[in-house]
Amino acid sequence: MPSSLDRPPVSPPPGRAIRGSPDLPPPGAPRRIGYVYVLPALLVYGTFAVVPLLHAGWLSFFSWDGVSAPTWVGAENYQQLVADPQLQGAFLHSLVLIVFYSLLPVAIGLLLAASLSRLPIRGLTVFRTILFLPQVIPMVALAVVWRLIYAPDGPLNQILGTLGLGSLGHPWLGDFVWALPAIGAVGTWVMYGLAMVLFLAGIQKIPSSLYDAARVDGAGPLREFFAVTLPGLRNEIVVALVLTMVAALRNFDLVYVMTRGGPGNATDVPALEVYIRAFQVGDVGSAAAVGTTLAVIIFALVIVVQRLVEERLT
Amino acid sequence: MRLRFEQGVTYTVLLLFCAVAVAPLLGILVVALGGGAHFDNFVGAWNAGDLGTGLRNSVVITTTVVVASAVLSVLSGYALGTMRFRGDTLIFAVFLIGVVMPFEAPIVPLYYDLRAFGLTDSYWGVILPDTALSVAFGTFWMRAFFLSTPVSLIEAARIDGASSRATLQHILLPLARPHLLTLMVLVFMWTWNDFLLSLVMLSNPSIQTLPLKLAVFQGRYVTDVSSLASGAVIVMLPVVLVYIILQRHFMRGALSGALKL
Amino acid sequence: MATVRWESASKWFGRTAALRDFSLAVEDGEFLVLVGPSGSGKTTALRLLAGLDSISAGHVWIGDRIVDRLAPQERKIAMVFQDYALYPQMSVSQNMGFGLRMANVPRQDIERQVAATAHTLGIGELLERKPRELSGGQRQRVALARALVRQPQVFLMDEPLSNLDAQLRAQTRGEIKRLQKDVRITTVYVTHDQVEAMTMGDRVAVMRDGVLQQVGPPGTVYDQPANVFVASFIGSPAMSLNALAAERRGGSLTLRRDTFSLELSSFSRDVPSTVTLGVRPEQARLWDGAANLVGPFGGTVESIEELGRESFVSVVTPEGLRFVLLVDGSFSVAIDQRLSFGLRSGQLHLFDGETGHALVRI
Repeated sequence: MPSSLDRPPVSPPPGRAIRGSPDLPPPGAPRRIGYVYVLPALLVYGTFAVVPLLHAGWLSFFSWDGVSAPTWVGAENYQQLVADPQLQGAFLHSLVLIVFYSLLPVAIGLLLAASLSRLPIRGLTVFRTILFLPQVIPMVALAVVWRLIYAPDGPLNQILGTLGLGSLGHPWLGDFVWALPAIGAVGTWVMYGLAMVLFLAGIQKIPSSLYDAARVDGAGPLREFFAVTLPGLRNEIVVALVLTMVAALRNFDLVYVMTRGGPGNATDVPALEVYIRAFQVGDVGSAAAVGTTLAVIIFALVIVVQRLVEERLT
Repeated sequence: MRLRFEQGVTYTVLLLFCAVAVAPLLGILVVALGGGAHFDNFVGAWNAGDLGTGLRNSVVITTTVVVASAVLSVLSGYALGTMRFRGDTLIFAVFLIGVVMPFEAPIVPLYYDLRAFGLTDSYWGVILPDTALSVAFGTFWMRAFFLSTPVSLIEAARIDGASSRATLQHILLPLARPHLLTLMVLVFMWTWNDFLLSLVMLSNPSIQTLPLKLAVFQGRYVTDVSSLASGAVIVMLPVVLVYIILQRHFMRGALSGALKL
Repeated sequence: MATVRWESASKWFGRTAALRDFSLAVEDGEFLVLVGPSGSGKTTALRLLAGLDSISAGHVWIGDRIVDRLAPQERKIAMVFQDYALYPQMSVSQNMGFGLRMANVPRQDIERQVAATAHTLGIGELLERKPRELSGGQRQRVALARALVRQPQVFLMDEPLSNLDAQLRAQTRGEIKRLQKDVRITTVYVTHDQVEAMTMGDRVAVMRDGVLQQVGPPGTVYDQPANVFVASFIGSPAMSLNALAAERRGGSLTLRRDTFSLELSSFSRDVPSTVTLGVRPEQARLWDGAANLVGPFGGTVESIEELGRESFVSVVTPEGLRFVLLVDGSFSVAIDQRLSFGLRSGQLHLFDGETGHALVRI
């Protein structure tokens, strides 16, 4: 059947013969007034977040004690970042904390996901509420709680003693070896609920037909987990990883209240270094460099993870 | 059979981890109550830690930040979600930076800049930066809502002769209420729990926030276990109460906010 | 009341044309239906008229004014949206009164007008309800009432019936048509449903790929389709279209494919060498030797659509030509059965095989 009716060529008319731009917004649609709506938020956000962030980057190239005139030192603060064993230690501790804040909670969350039956869970809201509870409580309060738990005569050592394991007892937060893992364990305790709640929500979005298909194919629980659950949760796993990793990198409240970085520098972290350098020892330039580095690492982490998620979607 | 067994495993694992999650918190409550239902420890901690002052300051700061960032976020989210203007994508990208920005970097110059304007050791020293960060997420959050409303509603309003303000006020804002409440709950939690900013900005005891008061208190009364426990409970209580009442909003905010990251 | 006119209106989205050089005038009080498949530009034409999209080239007139640059609310129009776009948190009366409120009409006047319009549409008892408490049909009616209460110069409707079930749709068609005749407001109505277009429009404008194909009263568009697209789009079941070779010999014309041939004597027009023959089902009948039939042609029954009173029988000839025949409901027929049929001379359509343009009725 003939179909070629009169059709003009499929391209815009040449030149600017037509009035205005082809994609002009609708007449009377609010446009410039948009700036009026955005301005207050942008002003507050720009003045008290963006400008300070840029200012921090700028300050990181100076040596400044916070009082006298700053002097330009170029990249020296950043060179120090590589050379100073104390700063190296702080960033290294962050890596250890990532294991506790991020990898362990995600592993625990996956354990839950693997053990989850396909039947609806009664009281799911209550479970979720409890699991998520540590997330909403001020870190300072949690730090106080766990400091008491870890105290030399605190409940943890008492429990070990009752179990006849008194020899395993330590002055946890005063121990050079155990202080960092002790703080990390608090991170695990706070974060596993987040991972679990995320995965609980995610697993409900996996079509049950996939599980049925796996069972029809004779897959055991283990194969079912690796073939269906794990790929289905990929998005949630990535989100849980990034949230917990950022929390690990930014850890300040716990360390400040529980150990102030001690004993020695055993629990020193970058955020604490920023605080001490900027506001206690008067090495503002160095603090700015540490803070900027931390920000860059976190931005990079988020961007990389976002790419991973998007790749999956496309 | 298999299903029954699996369900047993599910509940066991859930119960186990729920127990681990609440045990330390219940423990601290028991210690604070001192083995009975008396509140001497609370009164003691309240007075010794000057927690009443802390509570007042936290309420003032948190309320202001929540209200201010809600208003600003609605306005900017509305513009970025429903209007086209030059630079709108760029502006949104700038806001997005703030969604993930760690405060550890900007806080360094912020302290010295605010000090120059005499804003440290005042409520403003905490309110303004906290609002700034909340507004970044809030804009992101409200824009997503306004983008999700049917365009035909806005167009119907335009045909009805509603100005952009009237469209927001009479049509979109009433629809946005649950979404806005979630945002306010999240901002409340972040602001109430903030420690670093208060620590840096507020050295005058009369304006220190509750978490800061607790940190100071525990530095001074290291060995008084029951007082410390009471103090911790007092600091937790407001946010836990709000959480239990509005847990749907906490969860929705935490989950969808995180997933949209 | 007002006339409406598109004058060489075009709309580009990026490099894609949604509407091309569209010119059409709607008379005062007329009910005009824009009909076409999705992507035909019908909704774009409506949105340009409403001011919900900017015009890329050309003009839109309402009355004696060019309204290209006017905001929607300055155009004195009212619109019924496909999803109705009722304000969810407002009651029916607030929904209806919102436009008047925005125009600073005094409260008593708003109440009076809302009540009057609600009465006209029989939704008086729904005024305090919220949209979510209404059925689909009620929502549709409220959307109509909201548009009507503003006493617009032009009524715009964007597929207002597409969310209703079939029965309600048929009923509401008649109601809207009657309402429009009562209030005599110029109406532009967009639909993809050709039945809606044929039953409602004073005139029907058929569109495709952003280009106006034909405009005219429903009967004209049906009887004299301007091209094969209109011919196939309007009418259900669709017109049977078959490509044939055309041979002029002396005063007669022979249309042929393989052994199928249809000869027309005393035919004097020039036609291209390939043509498309269009036959409406009611012009293809079982062979009964009647004088006005050409034929007979033989074919096998391919499918049957029984509607009770009548049936549509699809027949394929050995040469691969397909025709839909309208037969009496009492005639029993089976698939794969062989039939003889004839075509009504004088009622057949001939289209240019290349361009698809209508040539002549034969």
